[in-house]
Amino acid sequence: MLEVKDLKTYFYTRNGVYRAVEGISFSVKRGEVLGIVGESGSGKSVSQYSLLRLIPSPPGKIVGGTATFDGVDLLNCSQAELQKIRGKKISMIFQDPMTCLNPYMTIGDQIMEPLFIHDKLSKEEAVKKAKNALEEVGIQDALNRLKSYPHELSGGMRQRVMIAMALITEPELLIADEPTTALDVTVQAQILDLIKALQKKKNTGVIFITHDLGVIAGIADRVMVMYAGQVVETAPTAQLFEKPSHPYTRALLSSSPALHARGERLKTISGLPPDLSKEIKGCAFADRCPERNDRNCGSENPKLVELYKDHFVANCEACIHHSPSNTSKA
Amino acid sequence: MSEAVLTLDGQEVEKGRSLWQDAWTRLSKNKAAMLGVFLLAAFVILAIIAPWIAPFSYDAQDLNIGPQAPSSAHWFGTDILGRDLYTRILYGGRISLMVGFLATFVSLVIGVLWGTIAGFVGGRTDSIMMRIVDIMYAIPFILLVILLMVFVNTRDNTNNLLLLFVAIGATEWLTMARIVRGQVMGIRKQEFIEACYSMGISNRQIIFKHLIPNVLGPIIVYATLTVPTVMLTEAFLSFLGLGVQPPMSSWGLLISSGVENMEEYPWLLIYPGLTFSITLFSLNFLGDGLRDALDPKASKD
Amino acid sequence: MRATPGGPFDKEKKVTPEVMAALNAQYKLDQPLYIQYWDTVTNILKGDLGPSFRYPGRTVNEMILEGLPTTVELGCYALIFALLLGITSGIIAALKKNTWLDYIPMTFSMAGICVPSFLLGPVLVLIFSIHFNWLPVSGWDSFAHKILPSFTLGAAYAAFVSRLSRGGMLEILSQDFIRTARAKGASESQVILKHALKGGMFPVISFLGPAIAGLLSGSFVTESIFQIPGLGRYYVQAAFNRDYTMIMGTTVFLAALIIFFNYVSDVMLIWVNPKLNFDKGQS
Repeated sequence: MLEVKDLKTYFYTRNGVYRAVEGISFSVKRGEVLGIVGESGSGKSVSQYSLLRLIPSPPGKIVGGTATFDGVDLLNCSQAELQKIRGKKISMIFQDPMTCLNPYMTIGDQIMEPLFIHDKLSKEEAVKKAKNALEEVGIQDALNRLKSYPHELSGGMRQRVMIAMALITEPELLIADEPTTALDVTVQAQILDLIKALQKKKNTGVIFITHDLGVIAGIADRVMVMYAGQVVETAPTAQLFEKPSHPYTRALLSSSPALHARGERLKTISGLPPDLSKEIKGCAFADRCPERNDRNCGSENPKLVELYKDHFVANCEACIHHSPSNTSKA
Repeated sequence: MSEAVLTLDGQEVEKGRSLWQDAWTRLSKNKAAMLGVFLLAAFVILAIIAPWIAPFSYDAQDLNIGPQAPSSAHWFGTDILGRDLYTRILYGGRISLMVGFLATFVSLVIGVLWGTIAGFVGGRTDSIMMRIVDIMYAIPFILLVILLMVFVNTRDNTNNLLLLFVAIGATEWLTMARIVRGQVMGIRKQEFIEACYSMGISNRQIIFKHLIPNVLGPIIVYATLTVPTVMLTEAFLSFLGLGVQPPMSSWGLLISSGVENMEEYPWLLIYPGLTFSITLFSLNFLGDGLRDALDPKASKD
Repeated sequence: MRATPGGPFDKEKKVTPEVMAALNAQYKLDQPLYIQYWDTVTNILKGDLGPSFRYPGRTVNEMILEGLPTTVELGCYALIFALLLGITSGIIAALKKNTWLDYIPMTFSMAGICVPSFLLGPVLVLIFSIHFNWLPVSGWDSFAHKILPSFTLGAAYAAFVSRLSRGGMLEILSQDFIRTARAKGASESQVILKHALKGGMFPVISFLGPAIAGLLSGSFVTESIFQIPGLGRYYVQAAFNRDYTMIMGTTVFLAALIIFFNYVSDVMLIWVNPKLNFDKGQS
């Protein structure tokens, strides 16, 4: 359904060229949930915004690559075509529903907007659909809620509204950018369940961005791990947790609090993420890799290679010849 | 916020730069603001040294020449009474700029004191103080200033000027007080002030070493932008005949008499008008530049 | 006011002391100051602003009502002009940030702020009336008469509105919910008009109160320059003539108007920003 090849997005700032996404490739099948994991600055959000060309155009620029969705070239199609896809075929939900909802419009107006833009419904039909959408996401008293403003709702409710707004046109692909990060843990679980249920019901493809491995484990069919604007490993979820091959993936897993016994010392990854405004020679993770060798880690940037079935990893010794005893079970 | 070379795990991290350095870098890149600084400095210097460089005395009339177009003897021409316009503009500048800066200074002092006390002490004192500001804010001050100038019109020029400072300064301090109070309250709530308290630093030290430097930014910006407002008010009053009285000149007066005679002697309007406008341009560009430089969030790009 | 030297009748031809006394008695100027004050205040509250000293036989109320419509008309034209020019140029400048379409309107608006109306007006007259002879020099009769004064009075406010609109739009356009609107497939014009405009105009609306105050006081100068028979000009003349009741009356009237418009502006702010209303309701 969605096929992305070698996507590159750079930001041209006063202080240099910031290479946020440096050549990533991935695909999403119909009805599949792809999880994207990475720390802040890894390029996970930027890469997805690039798909819908939502990158602010100075200073950002999609420099290269292709993204094909059902035959349409997302990166080069006309503005009109893109607008037809946005909100109808591909919808997005964002991290912070407070800032992402228009504070000056009622939530009813905002939810119904895609219906007016794309499906050209009448007011009555739209109101009915909006009411149903709100009920589907678990908001009581939907008809009256339509007249509320975003600031009158709690964080969890706002996120539900966002989800309703995104799914009301029955899109084929939903891109969810850290939808649970800004919420309390209990609400997080509810929202996750909601997304899972709706996804199954409508067979929507989902790209789920998060930095939380626990969340990924619960929702994704396949996982893509990003670091410094590149993909370092991608595999089916269970496989990733059982056989993490890239040192970064392994470090992430071992530093996750959920995977440690009580009282155990948390492990961290030493060092800082690289400065993306400087060109990186060789493997981006080399500086922090506990298994770096000085032969090729500093000079070549390893390409992805299929290690196991459908499990791709960077082609380097540390990834391919690792010791299984270092991994923890999910 | 000071310069430092930090090391983290033995790796060198980028040097931090102080807020002022950052601001200066940004400001110096702003061409319009730099031009403003340059012009403003030039005008101020000219105004200060006016008595020494003016070719004529500002009230030296020569009724024989009468109004004359610009020539080599009189660079900007002469006015109805034969007074050299260039000289009068120089001296006018002294008055206008002086009123501008001094009245701004008056409003600055009152506003900062008021705002700092209100913001720092908080509680009921704050409520009362700001309520007073709110009430005074609702009254259209320009009307009161006009009233004041009409009815307290003395022959004595220095008293007149003083009155002008006070009257104009009294209208501008309100906004300054509000800004300062807002800033002070914002800073006061921040954690580093609590940290100071817990370290046992006295109130006085806190105010001077921590509060005021952080509040300075918006104060400087607003003060720079108040000067042109004050100058406009002074010019407005002079135009109505309520400000500076002849034979002294201010730019407002010069423009006013220029308007009277503009049909036959347009230079009497153009030169004072130009000088006034350029000065205001400079001040405004500088103020804008300072605002962009000191508050990156409010920056336009 | 009374404490200042010079009474309203001083300028008249010398009158005999008896006549002076009679006049003073008629206008109650011989009463102790506190009685005069009390009288004035109660009268004002009753809406009676008293007779004009300068023009015997005419009350202040009369003269205010005479001059008011003209001033209001001038103010309206100036305001409409300021809003139209200011908002459109501000929005365009915000959309085409850092291009010539941004620099040029912003430079003009800077000029509008820096060149006061009493300078701009005469210069415009110099160019358009005297030099080109396209427009009349002064007066308020035909439509052509109204162009220059409205422009002169409105210019500074157009400048402010322009900068405020630009700033407001830029601020709103950088917010996340604009990205959400685009992600829903809204066209650029929908994004601007439906999503951005309401919030973007916020600073302009808060400026309306002070703007109207400024327009009212700015009318003094404009009316004087263009010889327009409005309230502003009466006010200036009253100040010169030391016409006490006229000054008091007009000041009170103008002050009341300004306070009223500030209040209306506050109300409009709350209507536009539902969040403010909510916060207000909460406290």
